[in-house]
Parts: sequence; structure tokens; C-alpha cells
Amino acid sequence: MKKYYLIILSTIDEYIAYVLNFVMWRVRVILRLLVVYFLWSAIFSGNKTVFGYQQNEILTYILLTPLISSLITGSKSDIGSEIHQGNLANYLLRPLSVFKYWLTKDLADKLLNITFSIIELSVLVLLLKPDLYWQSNLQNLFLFTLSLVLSLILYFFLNNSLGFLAFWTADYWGPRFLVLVIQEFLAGGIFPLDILPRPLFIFSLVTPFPYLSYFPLSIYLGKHDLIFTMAGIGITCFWIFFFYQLSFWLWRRGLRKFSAEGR
Amino acid sequence: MNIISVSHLTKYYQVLQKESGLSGSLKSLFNPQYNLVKAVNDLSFTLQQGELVGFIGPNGAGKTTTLKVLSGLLYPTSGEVSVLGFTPFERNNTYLKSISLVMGQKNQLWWDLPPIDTFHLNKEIYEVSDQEFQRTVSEMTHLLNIEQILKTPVRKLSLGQRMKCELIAALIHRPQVLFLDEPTIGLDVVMQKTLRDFIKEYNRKYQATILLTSHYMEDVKELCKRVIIIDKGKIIYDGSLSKITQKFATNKKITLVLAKEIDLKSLAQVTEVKEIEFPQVILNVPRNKVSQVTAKLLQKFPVADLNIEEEQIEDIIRKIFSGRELS
Repeated sequence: MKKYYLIILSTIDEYIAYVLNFVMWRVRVILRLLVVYFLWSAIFSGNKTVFGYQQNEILTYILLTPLISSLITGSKSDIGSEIHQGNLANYLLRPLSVFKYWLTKDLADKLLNITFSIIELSVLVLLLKPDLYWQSNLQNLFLFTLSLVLSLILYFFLNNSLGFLAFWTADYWGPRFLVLVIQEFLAGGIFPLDILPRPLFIFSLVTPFPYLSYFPLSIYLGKHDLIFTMAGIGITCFWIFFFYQLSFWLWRRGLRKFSAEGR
Repeated sequence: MNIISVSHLTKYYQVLQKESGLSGSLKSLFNPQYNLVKAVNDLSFTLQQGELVGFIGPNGAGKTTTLKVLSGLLYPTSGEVSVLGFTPFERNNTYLKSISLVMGQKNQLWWDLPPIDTFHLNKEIYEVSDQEFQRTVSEMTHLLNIEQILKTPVRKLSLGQRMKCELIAALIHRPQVLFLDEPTIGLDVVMQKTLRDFIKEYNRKYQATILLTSHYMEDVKELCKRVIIIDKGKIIYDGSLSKITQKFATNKKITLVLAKEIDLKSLAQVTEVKEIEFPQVILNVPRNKVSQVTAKLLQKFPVADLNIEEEQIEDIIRKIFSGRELS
């Protein structure tokens, strides 16, 4: 176990080597958050509810989004380039599960991000003093946590599957960008998805994307009944299974194609 | 006992061909052309425990590909490979703990962290005990004289210092089998010598089996009794270094010292003249004619001194690499 602990420490240590990069990146996150925050504040000026949301619900949604995404989608690991540049060879040579190694580095990334997210958020809350929504129902809190963990796993395998395309093509960033664009929209990072037209909303729910941000948040806000929530968790599990299988399948096939370029 | 055994190993690559420039890129986008490159073509050899073998050949001969197959990175197109009884591509943990691959061109050290951090990480990954780790690191850093740079971030180290640290990182777990790909590339002669001594010592002390590639003949001459020469994916020689001459040298070198000036044309009629620096003349003589030619020389010319030598190994290897036909 100690090796995973050391991997986490070393990853964080690497960040510290480039403090300014890290700080500027966090500044970007905060600015983006402020833009969305003030946008929604403006929409609410004079209105009690917009699109069926109370002001405090929306503001909570907006402020929690970066926290959730730093936990789920926030990782700088780029498996595609590790394969493309041949660095994968380093991991393959060692008696270590490459998947576990990546997951560990990923968790280290997330640990760092979530720590800073929490600090930033606390500062913002103190400064802006927004009216927030506090969930106190234990069942909702439990389901919220469960869906966070599932989403984290889902994103890990989805991310791996995309990265493994680099075994076959140097253009692995193409499909990746496409997914990022869809993800930006369908994950509900800018607005809650249920304000979309009903058919579009229903369609989005069968894709894996809402489960990366919108879904856990809406559970926290208590927007759904238990049946809807359980259905969502079921769909998340399906996508986890799908991307788990896909990523291992791609991995096994890809390794046979791997040419350890540049090594 | 065979530690490494390779039989009829073949590895082909599909390589995308692209004409230069943007139009070439566009063309290759819509109609990609692939070339089948036979990096390794029907290779067979074995290594015994404790052997230190030089694996030599021109660039692109298939040396690195072979090392990558042996260390489990590449999936062979066909053929059987077995190292320590394992099939490398399965990457069994016990197997990975017994080998190491070091490449002079790339690094495994964490770029932004000091080398000692990578050593510690490898210690945990390879499950080396504290005691053994301490002993290995202090012994090796002492041998390579780098105690003072262990805490400097890798990116600030010189190439030589980095290579030394790479070597230590790769040896933390004391592998029984070591694959070294150009470990001395780009280093100055003093540093090359230090690394050579270190490799020799590791081989002797731990009875490790080592397969080494290098373009520096000094490395090979000093370290390896046996060499495998490979070209265009095929083995063209496998045997002791000293016997290369017997196999490949087609000529011998006769050095003459003349007592007085002569007409050099008449000398050229006897055999090929390679170099003249009066009174010394160097002649190139086919092996089977040496005695005949020598007799003639002594008879016809005022010879003060005569010396018959084998061709230098370097010259022979150069000939092999330059693709000259060998008899």
C-alpha cells in the first residue's frame, strides 16, 4: 500500500514544482465560477423562481459545480499522450498495475483539487454571502455520496477508453475534444439540465454525461423522487460496466499494437 | 541453463508513410499508405546465466526492438521468447521484478523531483526491504560518485549525472537480467569508462545476465566476450569477439619497412598498396595469399622489417555496418 501513498505524495510534489501554473489554473476556475454566478444572479433579479428553481437552489447548484467537477472530471492525467509518446513503457516495465497507478495519480490530482476547491468556495461564500440550500435529509445525502463515487469511477473508465485510442491513431485528441464539447453541455456544468426542453432532457439522461455533474447535484438539491434517482444510479452502473469492459478490451488489443515509440 | 532463449523471433511494424509538406499530409489523411517494416526477422539466440553479451548492429538493425520484446513491451509478431522461464509479454510481476531495461535515450526518473524520490518509489513498487535499499543505494551512489546530487531535481542534472541515476533507479531491485540500450550514448569518455566499470562490476558481483547494445566499440571490447551482430533484422554473427576476425577478415595487413627507395609501381604489381609513408608501406593482402606474397616481397625488395597483422575489429565491424558483402 505504501507505494500508492508515495505515488500520491510524488504527484502532489510535482504540482508544487510549478506553483504558478497551479495558482493560475485555480484563478481560472474561480473566474469562471464568478461569471456564471453573476449571470444567474442577474437572471433572478426580481424573480422568485426561474425554470422551476428557487434562487438559493440555483446558486447552490452553481457554487457546488466546480467542487463536483474537481472531484469527478478534474484530472490532468493524459493517458493518450503517455501512449503516444511512449512513456507508457515506464509503467509496463514495473511490477505494478497500470490501471491502479493511473487511478492513484488521478486520486492525488483530485485530492489536491478538492482541497483547493473547498478553500476557495468557503472564501466566496464568506464574501458573497449567498442564500444557500442545505440538504438535511440523510437518504438524499447518502444517495448523493453514492452517485459521486459512481460518477468518479465512470469518468475514470470513460477517460481511459478515450485515451486508449492513442494506440491506433496519433489523432486521439479529435474524438476527445468532441466528447469534451458534448460533456461541457450535457454534464450540466453551466445550468441544470432539467431546464432544457423535455425531449432533450430525457435524451441526455440516457447518455453518460449528466452523471458527471448534473445528476449528483440534483440529488443533493432533492429535485428527484426515489424512483428517478434509482433509475439514474442504474444507468450510471450500466455505463460503468460498459466503459469498464470497453477500456479493458481496448487496453488488451492496444498493447499488442503498442510500439513504445521514441523509447 | 538458458536464461534467455529466443527462437525464430519476428516483429513487423506497420509504418505510416507520408510525403513531406501539407499536401503530403492531406494526401495521407485520405489515403494512408502503410509500409510493412520487418524490424526483426527470424532471430534465434540464447544467453547463459552471468553472460554479458554485446548486441551490435547499425542503426535500425532491430536491436532496440529485440530488447523491447525481451522486456515485455512489445508483442512479437511470431516466434518464441522465454526469459527466466517466463513469457515476457505476459508481464508477470515476478518476472518484472527480476529484469530491468535501461535506455540511454529516455528516462524513467520523475523529471521535477530529485532522483532519491524515484529511488524510494521504486523501492516500494519492487518491494525492496529498507535494509537492502539502503545498502544498494549507498553502494551504487558511492561507486558512481553521485552522493551530492541525490537531492537535486532531475531536470537540473547533466546528462551524465542523469544517466547514472537512471542506472541506479533501474537496479534498486537488483535484477538478475539487465537489458541496456546504449547506456553510454552522449557521454564523455571518462563518464563512459565509469559506467562501463560499473556495469562490469554489477555483472561480476551479482552474476547478472546482461544484454547490451552500444555503438561504441570500446564498450563492447571492454565488456563483452561474446557479441551478436545483427543487421536488417537478422543475425549475421554470434560468437566470441576475438573470433570475428577469423570469420570476417578477408585480408591481412602487412607493414613493410624498406631499406632504400624503390619503384613503388613494381610493389603495386605484387599486391594492393594501402598507404605509403616512406620508408613504411602498408599492404592489403588476401588471407590465402599471405605466405606467397611475403615470400615474393622478401625476395624482390630491400626489406628492413616486415610485420603481418590481422585487421582491426573496428575495421571489420565498420565494413559489416556499411553493408559491404562479406565472404
